[in-house]
Parts: sequence; C-alpha cells; structure tokens
Amino acid sequence: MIINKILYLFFFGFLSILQPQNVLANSSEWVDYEQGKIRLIAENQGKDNLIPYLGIQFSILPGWKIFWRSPGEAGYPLEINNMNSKNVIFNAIQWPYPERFEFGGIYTYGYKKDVVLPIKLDIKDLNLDTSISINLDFLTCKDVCIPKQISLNIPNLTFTQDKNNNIKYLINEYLSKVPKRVVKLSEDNKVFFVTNREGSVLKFYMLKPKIFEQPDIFVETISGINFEKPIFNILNNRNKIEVELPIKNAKKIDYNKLINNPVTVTFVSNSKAEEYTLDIEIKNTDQGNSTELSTIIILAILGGFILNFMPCVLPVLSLKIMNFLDKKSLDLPFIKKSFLFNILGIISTFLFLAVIIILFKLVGINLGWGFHFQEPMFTILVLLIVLFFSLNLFELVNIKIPYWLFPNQNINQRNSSDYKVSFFNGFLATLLATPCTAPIIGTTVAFALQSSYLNIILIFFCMGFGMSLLPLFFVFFPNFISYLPKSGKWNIYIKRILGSLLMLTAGWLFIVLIKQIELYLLMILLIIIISFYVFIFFQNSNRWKINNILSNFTVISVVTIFILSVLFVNHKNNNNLSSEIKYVNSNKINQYISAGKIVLVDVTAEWCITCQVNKYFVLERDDVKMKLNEKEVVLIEVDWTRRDQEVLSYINSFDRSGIPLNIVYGKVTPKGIVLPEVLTKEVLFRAINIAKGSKNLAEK
Amino acid sequence: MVIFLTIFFILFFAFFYNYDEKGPVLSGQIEKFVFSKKETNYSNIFWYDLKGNEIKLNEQRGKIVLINFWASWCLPCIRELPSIDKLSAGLDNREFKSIVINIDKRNRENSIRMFEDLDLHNLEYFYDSAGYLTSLLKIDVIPTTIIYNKNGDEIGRLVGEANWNSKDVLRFLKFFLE
Repeated sequence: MIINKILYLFFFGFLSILQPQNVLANSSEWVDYEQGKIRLIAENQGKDNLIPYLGIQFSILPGWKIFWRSPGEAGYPLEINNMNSKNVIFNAIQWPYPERFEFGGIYTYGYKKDVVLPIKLDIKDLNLDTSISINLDFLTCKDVCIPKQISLNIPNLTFTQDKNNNIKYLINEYLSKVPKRVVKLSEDNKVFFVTNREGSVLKFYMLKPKIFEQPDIFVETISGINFEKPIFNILNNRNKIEVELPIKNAKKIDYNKLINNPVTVTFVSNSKAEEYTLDIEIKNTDQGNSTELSTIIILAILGGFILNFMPCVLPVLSLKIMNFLDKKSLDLPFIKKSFLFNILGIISTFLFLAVIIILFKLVGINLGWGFHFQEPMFTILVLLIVLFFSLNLFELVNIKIPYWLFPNQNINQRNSSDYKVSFFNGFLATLLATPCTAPIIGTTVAFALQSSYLNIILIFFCMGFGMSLLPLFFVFFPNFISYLPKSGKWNIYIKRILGSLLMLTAGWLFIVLIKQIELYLLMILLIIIISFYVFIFFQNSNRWKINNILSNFTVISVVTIFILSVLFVNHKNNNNLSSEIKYVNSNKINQYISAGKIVLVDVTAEWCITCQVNKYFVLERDDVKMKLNEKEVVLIEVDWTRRDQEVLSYINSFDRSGIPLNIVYGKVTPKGIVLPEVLTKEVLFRAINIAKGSKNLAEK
Repeated sequence: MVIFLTIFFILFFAFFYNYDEKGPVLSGQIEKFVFSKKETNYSNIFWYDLKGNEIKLNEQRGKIVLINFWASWCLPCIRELPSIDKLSAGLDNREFKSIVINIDKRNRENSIRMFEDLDLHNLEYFYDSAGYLTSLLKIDVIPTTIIYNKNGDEIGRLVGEANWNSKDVLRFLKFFLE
C-alpha cells in the first residue's frame, strides 16, 4: 500500500510538472487517498455552450469499493459540500447503476475500479469567472471501512470549444449508465406486497426487454427495507417477467411507511438501466394459481379421509361397521361387496356434486361449497333422516323405516337390497360431510371451483377416493371386523354415543333451518314431526313400560328445551341480519376507514362448521372481543345461511368460493387482507396491526 | 554439589518456563494486533450510553477491557460484533469487559435498530458523541478494537475484522488475565 502511494505521488507529481496547468484547466488534480485516487473533471462544451456536467472521477484500488445512493445493508453514499465555488449551482448527482456486492448473504451496492459520478451544473453568469471548490465526504470499504473527506477544486473553468474532448466522452460513458426514468412500467404500475408462509416478498411484473442478460434489480424504499437477491420468473407467455424480492426481517417493517410511499425500482439488463416509481399494494397470500395441481390432489385425498371423522359423518360409517358385529359368522365376500358399494356411493355422490357445480357454472352461476344447505327443503330432508336415524339408535323408534333408508338389525337376512343400503349409506355420509368444510377441503374446493371442468371432476373424485380409504380398508381386510369385540353391552353404549352425535347434528341442522325459513313454517314442521313421533310411540308394543316412557320423556323434554332456547336466543339476535351485505358493498367501509377505523368483515353461515369453530376459538374469546370492542375496530358480520348472489359475488371477489371468509380493512389495506379459513388470534391481531400500519408487528 | 545442581535445575526450568510464557502469541485471528508503545491518558476516555450518561474507562479498572468501534455503515464491523458478544459470554465479567461503541454521526436510530436486530445479549449499545473518541484515539479505520489492561493502559489495537470468539484470541487474553 505504501509502495502504491509513493508510486502515485511520484507519477502524478511527474505529470503535473510535465503538463502545463492551462491544458488541465477543466479538471482538478488527482488526489490520492491510499485506497484509490479521485479528481474532478468538467465538460468543456454542452449543447448550449454551457458547461453542463461535472464529473467526480474515481480510480479505486482492487478490492476497495465506494457506495451507490442506496448503499444496501451497510455503507453510505458520497456527499458533496460546496466550499467556495463561484458562479455555479450544483444539481443532484446522477448515479450510474451500481454493482451488487455480496458477502455471506449480505448485499451492498456500489462501484469498484473506475467510476465517474456526473453532476449537472448551472452556470449563473457566463461572463463571470467560474471556479469549483468542494469537499467530498465518502466511505470506502474492503475488509475495513474508512470514511474520507477530500477537498477538490478547479480554480478556473474554461469555456473553449474543443471537439476532441476526452472528458466529455468519459462523462457521457457514465451518463449512459444512469438509469432512464420510465413513467409507466406496466398496466398496473404497482408493486405487490405479498405475505406467504415462507415470508414476505415484493412482487411486480414487467415486459421482458429484447435482450435479457445479467439482469438485476435494486429497490429503494423510504423505510430502508433490505431484500434478498431478486428472483426473475419468465412467465408462460414469454414476454412478461415476474420479479420477486424476498424481504429481509419482514417482521420489523414499518408497514405504514412502506405502503404509503412509492418505491424506486432500478432494473439493469444488458448494461442498460431503467428506473421506475411504483406504488405498493398489499396483496393477499397467493392462493390457487401458485399451487400445483399435484399438491391439490394430495390435499383432496387427505381432506376426504379426514371427513370420515367429522362428527356428522362418523356415526354413519361406524354404524355400518357395527352392523356386521351383530352377525353370528362373518361372511367375508359379502362384507367386501357391501363396502365396495359403500365406496361407490361415496364417489358417485362426489361426482354428482361436481356435475351439479359444473352445470351451474355453465349457466353462469357460481355455486359455493355447501350450496345444498342453502336449500331449506334439503335441510329439512336431511334433518328428518338424521333425527330418525338417531332415535333409532336410542331404540325409541322401532318401526320399519323403508328398508333402503337405513341398515338395521335385519341385516342378517341378506338380499340384493343390502347393496342398495350400502350405496345409500355412502351417499348420506357424503352429503353430511359437505358442510363440515375441513380446512383442507376448503382450499381444494376453492381451487377446484376456479379451474377447468375436468379438474373439478378430478378433484372431487380424489376427495371421494380419500373418503373411501376407510371403507377400502375393510374391503381389503374384512377380517379386521372379527377382531372387534362381539356385540354386547359396549355395543349399546357406542350406539348411544353415536346417537347423541347424530342428535347434535340434527340440532345444528335445526339452527340452520331457523335462519332459512319463516317461523310459522318451522312450527308446522315441528308439529308434524312430533305427531309422527307420538304415532310411532303408540305403535310400540312396549309403550307403557316404565323404561320406555322414561327415555321417551327424556328425549322429548331435551328436544323441547333445546328448541325453545334456540328460538329464544335466535329471536334476540335476529335484528336485520341480512342487511349487512349492503354495508360491505357500499361505501360504508370506506367511510369507516377514512375515519381511521379498522373494519373486520366476517362472512359466516349457520351451516358452516369451521365458521362456528372460528367464532368459538377466536372471535368470541374475551381478549379478542376486547380488541373488537375498542372504538377503532368495527365488526361487520355477513350471514350467508340463505343463498344470496350478492354475498357470493363478494366472496368470489376475493378468489374464494366458500366460507369462512374474514377480511380486515384499514387505512393501509383499503382492499382488505384476507385471513386464512382457520383463524388464530395471532393471525387476526397481526392483520389488524398491518391494517393499522402499526410499526411493530411483534406487539400483541 | 547438590545445592549447585538444584540451583542449576531451578534456573534451567525457570528459564524454559519464562521462555514458554515470554509473551502473548499473536497468531491466527489476532495476528494483526499491534502493541502500543505510547502511554495512555485513560482518564480522558469516555463514551455514552442510550440514556446519555457519560461512562468512563476508569470505572472498569481492574478488568481487561476490549473496546470495539463500529458503525451501521461498516459491514465488517457488523459481521464481527456477534463474535465479541460470544467472547464476553465465555469470560468472567468481573475480569473482562467488552465495550462496543457506535460512531455513527447521523441517524442514531438506524444504528440502534441494527444493533437490536443483531440480538446480542452480552453487549450494550454505547456511542461516541460527535467523533470525540475516534479523534482522541486516532481511529480513522473501522473496525478497530483496542484492548486495555487492568490499569487502564492500552495494550494495543487491532485494525480490521477478526473472529473474537476464537482460540487465538482466548489464548492471547488469558495471558493478560492471569
């Protein structure tokens, strides 16, 4: 280093002696600063015969670097302080595009070797003498960093015409590296802030330049966010590029600053650079289109399998298995066949649902998931079936219901209708499963509804297959049934438990029904059911036995108390429930937002189990309620128990086709943040904090 | 004769003993360490904590003190801070103390945020006000790390980055700790 220094000194000392001062009038002398040298150069002649550009010329020793206007994760840019310059005004430095330096995943941006930083000058009066005297403050780094302060001056700028001007050429070379301002980048001119499981990224789209070589992107935000290296994805249509910039330390971002200020993007390709100013928009977690069909299929199978264990489905299948326990000897081929028909029932029901959805889609109606529960007739039918099934298990209803409807004790006499029973069993299980939109099913169905008809069929088939896995087990290992204990007392208890589960399902269907039909219709229905029940009671030969009366009395009183309490509670809550959607679609949300409030929209329905789960575990917890009761958060509940095209189009506007759907609006997120289907307090609070533009997301 | 031999052996071992421990070994990570020749006027050495309290080197008397100068714009500095943190964790803080001093002249909030992001448990944020200490101690290159002995005199300094949580450094420090 010392040798270098001496060499420099010697060399430039020699030069300055050799060359008369007036030739170098439009440049300063080189100043050696140990890690490189620096001088000022000025253009002799511009278009208007002025001196348009001054250049700060660096010649940097190997390994050392100086920094760009945005230095990256460390460093600082050069700064000019005017000392005694005369007759001149300095404009901002025109920064040539930088180079990316990496060390262990940390990025800095700057220059090495040779660089000229051009500055446009304004000469106040051409007739006066002009001199430049400035002090430069910059940082140079290698394995250590050294702040430098260097004074440079050009005592007398000349304005002679000189056609063969090396300085002009040199400055122009670096001016061509200054990014060109492009006003409009693409149709939306936006950067999207996307949060997904891996973290947060900024994402934007641009047209692919003709020559796409050694591309790089530098993004400058007012909040000083640091990014990982950009990821360029050339999109299918070949002329668009998707740029992804993973954000470092995403948890510590000041979202308010980020969202409300545009970002500057410098795009470099093929040694040319462009600069855009883009607005940031918060975009929801990518869904659907980024998910591969193969993962969706796996999810569909898995989700289908889980459906077997939903409270409304479990009894249907368990009973089927238990029926075989009653048999004296196991007829394996029969069991196999019976389960095969069961599977057939499940899969054909799923396909049937898929066909209905496709048919409606063809007409232009987008049915959501669980759509059939929006039809009161369907709800009534299922309610009746479940209710009788349940009473049957309690052995309170002993009449022969149409044989194909329920498998019962008579299964010992086998005939062809056994297979019908199995088929219907699968059908019923599937229909009951649908409203239990398990989290996984929700995603797959949402994906299915948005994709091609073939995919809808495929995905529904996979869900059916998933749900069939349990009966399929018995097709392959029918012997397994013989390992279960023979029917006895435990059998009766299990039946009671399953009966209670079914009773709960019936109760839930009843609540759904209250929202769907008028009260007097419901009353008529209840009267019919009760009179039918009484009719059955008198059919029973044991009707006057104490046991029978007692259990009947229990059932009737429990049901009555349940109905009365539900009606009472519901009557209280039932004030203009259907009108909220008007709020959601009108300007109401905007009004709330501009008043500085946070709006939480909760689209829910009585038949949506996941919604109830969310309510129980999150929305109605005390600490959440406290937060929601704060003056700044407004909760709007939208009820979708009945079919409503307006609600559906609202749901569809978020690329969802089913519920639960929760959206948080705020000043920072006027388009809303969509929350995941299964809520957690953390997710909810985080979204509220983002919407608020809160500085620290870690705060609770 | 016996006495003579005994004296001889004692002298012999003493000689070799001293030879082994003649001085601290400057190798590996601490190779670039340069011993100080001048005497320090340690009473002038002070810095500030986040509350703006003045903290003097004098207060650390009786300890080996390592003072590291860093800045938010200095990548090598930021890289080596965690190793100083780990070094402090491994040594008895009644005998050894690490002080890291930020020398940012503007936007202190930024350097504080950076320091917090590093998540260092054994170091506190201190700063040098308006370049006082850097000019007093003639620090124009960072990272620079100065080590003071128990009397508050400068042992020497290392200019540049080092892995402070290394065997080389520990061996070096042990010499002064004992």
